[in-house]
Amino acid sequence: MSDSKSRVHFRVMKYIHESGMKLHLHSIPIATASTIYHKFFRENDLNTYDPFLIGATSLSLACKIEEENVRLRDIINVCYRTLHKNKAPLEIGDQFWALRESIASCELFLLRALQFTVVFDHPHKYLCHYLKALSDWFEPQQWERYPIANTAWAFLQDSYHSDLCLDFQSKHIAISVLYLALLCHGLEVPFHKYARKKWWQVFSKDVTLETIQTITTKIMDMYSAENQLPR
Amino acid sequence: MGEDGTDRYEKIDFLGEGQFATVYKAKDKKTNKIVAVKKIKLGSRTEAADGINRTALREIKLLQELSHKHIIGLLDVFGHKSNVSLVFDFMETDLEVVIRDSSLIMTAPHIKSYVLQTLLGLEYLHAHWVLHRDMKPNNLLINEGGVLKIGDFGLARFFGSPSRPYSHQVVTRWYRCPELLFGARAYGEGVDIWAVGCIIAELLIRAPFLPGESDLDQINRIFQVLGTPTEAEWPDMKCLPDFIVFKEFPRQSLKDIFTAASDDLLEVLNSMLSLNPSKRCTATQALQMSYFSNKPAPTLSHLLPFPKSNKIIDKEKEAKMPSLKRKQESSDSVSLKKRLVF
Repeated sequence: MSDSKSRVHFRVMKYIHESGMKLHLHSIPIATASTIYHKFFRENDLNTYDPFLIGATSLSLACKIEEENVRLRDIINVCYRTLHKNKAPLEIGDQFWALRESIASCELFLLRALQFTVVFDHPHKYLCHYLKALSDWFEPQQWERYPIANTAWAFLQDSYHSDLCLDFQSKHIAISVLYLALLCHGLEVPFHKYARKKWWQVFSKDVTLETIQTITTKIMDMYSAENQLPR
Repeated sequence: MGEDGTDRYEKIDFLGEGQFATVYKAKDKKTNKIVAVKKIKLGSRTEAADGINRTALREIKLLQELSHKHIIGLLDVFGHKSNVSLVFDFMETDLEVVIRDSSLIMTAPHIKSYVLQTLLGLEYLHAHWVLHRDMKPNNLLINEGGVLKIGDFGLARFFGSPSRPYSHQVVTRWYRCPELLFGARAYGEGVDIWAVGCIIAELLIRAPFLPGESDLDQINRIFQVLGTPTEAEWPDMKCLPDFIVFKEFPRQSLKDIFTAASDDLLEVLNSMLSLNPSKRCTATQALQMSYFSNKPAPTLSHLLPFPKSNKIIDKEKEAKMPSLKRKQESSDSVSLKKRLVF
């Protein structure tokens, strides 16, 4: 992916996440929206479609898929506001109805582009299981001292700014964000050094340290890409 | 999944029209299989402006994750312009037709077979954390070989997520359980089990068991037959949002109502029709009851009686809804605007 392209996608992802937060969406619908967006642009050209329309539509479609009850009206208003921070809020009028119609028809278009595959296996549920299991290995006091769950969850959510969700298994991503969170807090899984089997191998048979490091590097790269973004 | 959808399926016959969709019998030119194509209606302009129909999306999502002998198979989904069509296994008839066809004789082994097939499908659904929420004879589809499959997942959804309230306006009224009628927003498998209880009763008496005319009448009928629950039987009842105190009816014995039913079947029925949802059996528990292991054995699918006509043709109803299929003239103009100035 060329530099300018990935920069556009990064901006759109920020816009999706920011709008999602303002709409009080849960993590899963935001993850679904991001995945839909990345999937679409993996196969379609950025010059042919407006990425912000695809982004807003990914959000509205994700809300429907994940049974989040959000009205299209709110999505439009919030997305508009997120994109145009300095403009007045959108009034009900021709522009609003045009946006609404575009998103509605774009939804069907996106579904066709996805070939109606609307089931996404996100890393979140695996991460929950791993966190639960891992917390039982630690001394309670030691575990409670660090916000491992929050950090890992934040890494996971942020990871959607890049399209790594399309290239790696959900389990591997979940393990990687957990690995990164432990690393950041300087925490080591008890008896890690002496264990014949590493903790990640317990969670997933086919994960290698190399895969984990590839994923964590991608996440780190993504954060440095953010810093290079014009403010 | 089908990009070539419109060319791939050859329309053979019109099968029916529901609130959200039109169903056609069609031939899959690729496999030569007969299928049912459910074309989602766009409905009014305002609905069209809401994008993809939620019901259809729900059905697509759930069925993509499910695969079982007694669950309808979603074979393909395709879209063209603003249309969306779902391709299903073709099912010859449904249990409602079988029940209503008075020329068919329903024996105990037949009933056992229908109940068994229904529960096997339902057990699978519940094991995958899916509530069907619209179990009724009309949604229990039967194919040429007598295999029963649960269909119509437009109301179905995942359950077990404790934070989310659900709508209580689900399940066709006659099959709706007391907690839903009292407005429960958190419920579980029990809603489907109650409905199966009503379906078993309907198989026995060959008529709807509790055909309430309004929600209030529905709960009245339930209590008239099964007795008004006491505080001891269902302590949490009075906490439900729409709870109202009812006249105290005595409980009637199911044995007197279903004189033809064997004791082991009455045991199943009694458990499924428990007023207190926490006392209702699960699909798995029901399947372990002695009814299913006792003689007579259930009839093999292909030996089940088959109705002559595969439709309940309701001429009056058909005449009443004339040109519902208003042509969506705007469908051409909905092609995606290339660039949108946000």
